[in-house]
Amino acid sequence: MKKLILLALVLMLALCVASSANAEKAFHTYLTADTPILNGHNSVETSLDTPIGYCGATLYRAIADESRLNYKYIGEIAAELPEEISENVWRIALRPEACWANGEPINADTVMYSFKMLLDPVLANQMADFLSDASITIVNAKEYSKQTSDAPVAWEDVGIKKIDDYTIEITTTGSVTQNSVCAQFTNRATAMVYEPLYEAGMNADRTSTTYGVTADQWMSAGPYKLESWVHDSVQTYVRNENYWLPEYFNFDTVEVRIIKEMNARVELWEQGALDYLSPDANTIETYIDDPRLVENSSLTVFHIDINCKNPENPLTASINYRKALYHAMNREVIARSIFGYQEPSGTYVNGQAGMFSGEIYRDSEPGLAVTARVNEWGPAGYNPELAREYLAKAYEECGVSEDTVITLIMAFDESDTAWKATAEYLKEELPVIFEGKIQLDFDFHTESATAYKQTHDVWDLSPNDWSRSASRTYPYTCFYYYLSTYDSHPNNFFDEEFEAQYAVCDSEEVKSDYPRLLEETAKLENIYLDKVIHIPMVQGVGYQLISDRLELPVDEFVPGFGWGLIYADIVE
Amino acid sequence: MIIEDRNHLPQELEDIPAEKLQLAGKDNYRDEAFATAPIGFYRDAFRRLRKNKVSMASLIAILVIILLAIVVPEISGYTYVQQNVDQKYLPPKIPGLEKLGIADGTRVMTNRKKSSISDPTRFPEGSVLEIVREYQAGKRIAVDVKVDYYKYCGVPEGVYHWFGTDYLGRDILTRLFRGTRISLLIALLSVVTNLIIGVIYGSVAGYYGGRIDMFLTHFAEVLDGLPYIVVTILFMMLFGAGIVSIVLALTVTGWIGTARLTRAQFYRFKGREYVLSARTMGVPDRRLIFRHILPNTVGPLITRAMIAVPGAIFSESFLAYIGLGIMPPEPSIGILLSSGQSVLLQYPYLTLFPAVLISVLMVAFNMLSNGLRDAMDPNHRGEE
Amino acid sequence: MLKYILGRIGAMLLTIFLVMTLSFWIIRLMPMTIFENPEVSPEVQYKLEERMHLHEPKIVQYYYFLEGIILKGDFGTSVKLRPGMDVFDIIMVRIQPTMVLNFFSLLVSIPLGILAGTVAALRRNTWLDHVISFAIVIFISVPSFVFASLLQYCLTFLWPVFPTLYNAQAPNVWQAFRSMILPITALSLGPIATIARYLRGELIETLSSEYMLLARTKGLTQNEATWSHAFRNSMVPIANTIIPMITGIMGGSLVIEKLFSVPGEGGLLVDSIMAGDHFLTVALLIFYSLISLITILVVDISYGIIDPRIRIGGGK
Repeated sequence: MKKLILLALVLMLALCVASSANAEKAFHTYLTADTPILNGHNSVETSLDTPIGYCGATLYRAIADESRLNYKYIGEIAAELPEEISENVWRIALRPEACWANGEPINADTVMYSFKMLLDPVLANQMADFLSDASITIVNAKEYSKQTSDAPVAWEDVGIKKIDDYTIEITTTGSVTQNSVCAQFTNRATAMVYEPLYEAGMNADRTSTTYGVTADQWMSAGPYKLESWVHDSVQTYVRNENYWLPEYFNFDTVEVRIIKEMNARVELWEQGALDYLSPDANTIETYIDDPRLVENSSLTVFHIDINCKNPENPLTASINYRKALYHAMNREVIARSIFGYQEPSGTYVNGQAGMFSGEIYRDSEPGLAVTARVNEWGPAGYNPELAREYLAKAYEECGVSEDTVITLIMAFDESDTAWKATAEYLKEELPVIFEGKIQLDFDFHTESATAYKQTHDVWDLSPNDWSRSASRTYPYTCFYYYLSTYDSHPNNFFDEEFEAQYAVCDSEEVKSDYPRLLEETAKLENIYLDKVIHIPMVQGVGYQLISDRLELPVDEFVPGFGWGLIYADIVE
Repeated sequence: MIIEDRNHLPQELEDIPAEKLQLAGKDNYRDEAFATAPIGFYRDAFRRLRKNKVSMASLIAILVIILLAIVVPEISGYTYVQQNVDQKYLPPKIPGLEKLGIADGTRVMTNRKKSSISDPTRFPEGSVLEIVREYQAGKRIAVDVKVDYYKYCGVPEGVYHWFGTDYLGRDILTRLFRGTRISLLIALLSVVTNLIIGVIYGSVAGYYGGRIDMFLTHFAEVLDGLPYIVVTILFMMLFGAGIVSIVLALTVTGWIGTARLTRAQFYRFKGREYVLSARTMGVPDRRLIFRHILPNTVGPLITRAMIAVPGAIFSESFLAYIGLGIMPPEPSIGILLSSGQSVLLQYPYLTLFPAVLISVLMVAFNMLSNGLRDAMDPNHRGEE
Repeated sequence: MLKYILGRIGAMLLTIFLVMTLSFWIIRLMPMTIFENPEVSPEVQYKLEERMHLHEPKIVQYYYFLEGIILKGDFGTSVKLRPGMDVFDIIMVRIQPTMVLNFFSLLVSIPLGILAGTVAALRRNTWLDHVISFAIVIFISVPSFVFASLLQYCLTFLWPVFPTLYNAQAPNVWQAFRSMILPITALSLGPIATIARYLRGELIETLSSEYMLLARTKGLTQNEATWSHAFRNSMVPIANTIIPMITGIMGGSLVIEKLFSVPGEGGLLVDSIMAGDHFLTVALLIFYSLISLITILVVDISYGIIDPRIRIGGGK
């Protein structure tokens, strides 16, 4: 009997030791919506950054540098940073030790296959542009992926070449920096794809593949491997024993739960079951003083597109009408109270624009001059008096009699709480400002705003939140979406002066001279304000709560890198 | 007897000319008038209903809520769209009750920096009532502090929001009863539409029978197989948000039950003697249906309609909950519930008030329909 | 009997066909784009749409749609929520949590409902009866999502007794079940009350009927008579409540699944509507119809077997 008790005790002790030895470094985070598929080629969802960041391998990877204030690129699949061997030709050597989670090697053939499939004109992958034309533009890549039957482009003509098994070469259309080359090849779309599974999932006419639709149809290569994926519930990652750069990563396991309800996220955060939380407009109030709360200026300026071609609105093409609306927005109230502790913004170039080029545009002299111009009108451009004046002018200009009441239609996605509240706010506010002449009606859509605009003509206002990461290098690229060359043009606005000035900014000459570029960008932004291409509203501010038990690789928020959570360590 | 004896009648009696005959006692034969007023079926039912305390309480509760829904939005001093974003999420403050410490417009704000309390730009003078808890959070000292939230938001003295305010600073009390109005309207419209369609359909099927009945019944049966969720969702997608769409969506299969009930009643009554005799006397179909048979079904129909009302209110809030409700800024109970649910942890009162109201309404309608069913049960007729 | 069953199946197929037709036309009549991505050129867009036959007349599309479903079991491919994945597969993957949730709710509701109803009837007009009757009214009246929010707020936030969310990765059965307790409870309260109310009414009526008296006079004790006559007879019409109950549970699970992050069909249906993933929406609507029709069929047939009187009338 005694022996038995002793045995039991020993067993229990052993169990305790075993369990304490097993004390893993587990990181708990969440996604608000699950990744639709794991194939980085064909999904535009940013939620894909999570699984591909942890379990995918790209040519380069951004890590925190020694100063803990910035980041630098290191080769992941690449052996070292890219080298410009002749004008616009970059050579990238690959690591011989790079391999898939199952041990199979990753070499130049893998890279070539991944890139070729991403650009494949028949597959028509949604992310093709992220390889062909982002921070660098690769020769003939866009032409290849978007080729038409009357202008065929061969794969051989694309500026991506295999030199030997562990070397590739990239040819760009213009002169670029080493950093922008690296930046292009850290994007999730350029992560490697596993050929056997990619081919196995291909349909008969090679128009689509089921690669990455489930965990079984996908292969990890990064620091972690996808251990299980219950769609809409949880993704778990464990260390990939075959990974070749383990020294940068500290977590043993990562659990990503998919939590759609903000309440549930807050509850889990409060219980300590999440190491990270991004509060929304309603919850930020609770945490605004929390020492764990960190904030950063985001790449997004929330704005409202105005339809310049609504057949049922007599004012639709009038600049004065757009100016009237521009001045009618009480941005301070909307940013602070409705969006929740955000910054009002009467200008469109975002607060991160230009940071990679040495000076943030908004803090530069030309940028500040534009801000000053806006603030002269009123706080962040808000000036009801001016708004009424412009509306009167617009009525006169369009030959609308003075007592006409015009009902604008604001189309938005009802599930977006901040915009919905803004819309409700404006519905009451605009008639007050315009003395009843302008009324607001709503039209809900469940699809994206872009899709809505493709199928509807009759709308006037539509919230938008485009952000262009290229603007971190070239501030003017914020305006990219309003060019006539852009396929899904958002507001039927076309203006020659604007396009000409954009072309000036976009010229090699100006791009290579940054102070000049700032000047030209300010001119562009002034044209944008003169014509009111759309209504800027709120400069986004990102808020995050980060658990005390995490030791971060950086001391402050690094735009383009964030807090480097993936490289954090757990200290209890 | 008389007929048999006819041949034996005296000749003179047989020869009396017709004009000499007259009806005897024309003015004398009358039933004795009732000393008391006659008690009709509905009067009787109502009398029995009145005896049922729970039902009467329910009826009163419903009437009170309807009255509030009509009156409150008009006299609350606010409109349902009147907004003030500086005064969003104000807690409830009710004159009278505030002295008891409930609904006094205070709120415990957790997790504040201690230094911020003395900052008058953040906590205006006099807004801080009490420090509930002081603790170390990271490198800072944090406090949970009880504030007079009305002062905190700069609301002038004497302003009361009985049920607090929402994300745009709109008065919840006004919006709640405005929402009740909308929800009741949706319920009423859908129930009436269902009744009209159902009664006509059921009457036609039940009265004519045969082929028509067979066809109509089978059609209804196939339609009835459509799950209610599927149909409502499809129709909301088709018609978009709005009261009319919800009513239409609730009508698609909602009338079938009424039709079935009416048809069954018709089968029961159309063979009765009084109907047959009316038909023999040449009463037209329409009159037969509406005058002679249909009134029999009114009792069960009223009961059914009563049960359908909470169902419709429920459906509306369910649709609002999954994002297929009516157009903002118009409130409904469902809209208020779902927007309250998204801030349940921070501002539970936003869920509490609509939840209590919808529960009371549902319980009352259910109890009333129970009482009505019992009261209108012909088996209990005349019972005390 | 065979003729009766065949008739029921015929009607069911007709309804399914109606659901398919309705959902196809309603969803295709709405203005929509299936692919929406600013980065995709119009030409590629056209190519993608061509794959789905979107440029052919609606009636031809309808033909393809029916042909796909009926002949090939092909419900199309998801375009938004799980692009590239076969819609049928998506549904199959998620069937388990939904079924577990709905099945357990049924499993819990029926015995508890019967118990509550019986107790209330046998102890009629005692305090026990009043408590149960009051609870019945509350549970029938208050929408399940109000209960769910309330339960979640109280039992996971104020007093954390249960996990907040469904645990898809539970190490053992108990953990998994524990995370299901709250959603199951929220879904079951209504059905329990429905059954209890129905059974209470039935039992009270049977207990006072003449054959009970007969049973007593022929020498059975009150308990024996209650068990073998009253109870059995009252159980038959309970099946009546099961059809609306199942639809109720399914409707409730739409919201409950979202609240508790259960990766089932209900949340998927709501998401697919919101995301505009139309092929998925259509397939899910058909799925829901099928489940509800099969339930109706099973109940109808078992009814026909139990009680031949109903069969003759053919459900009229």
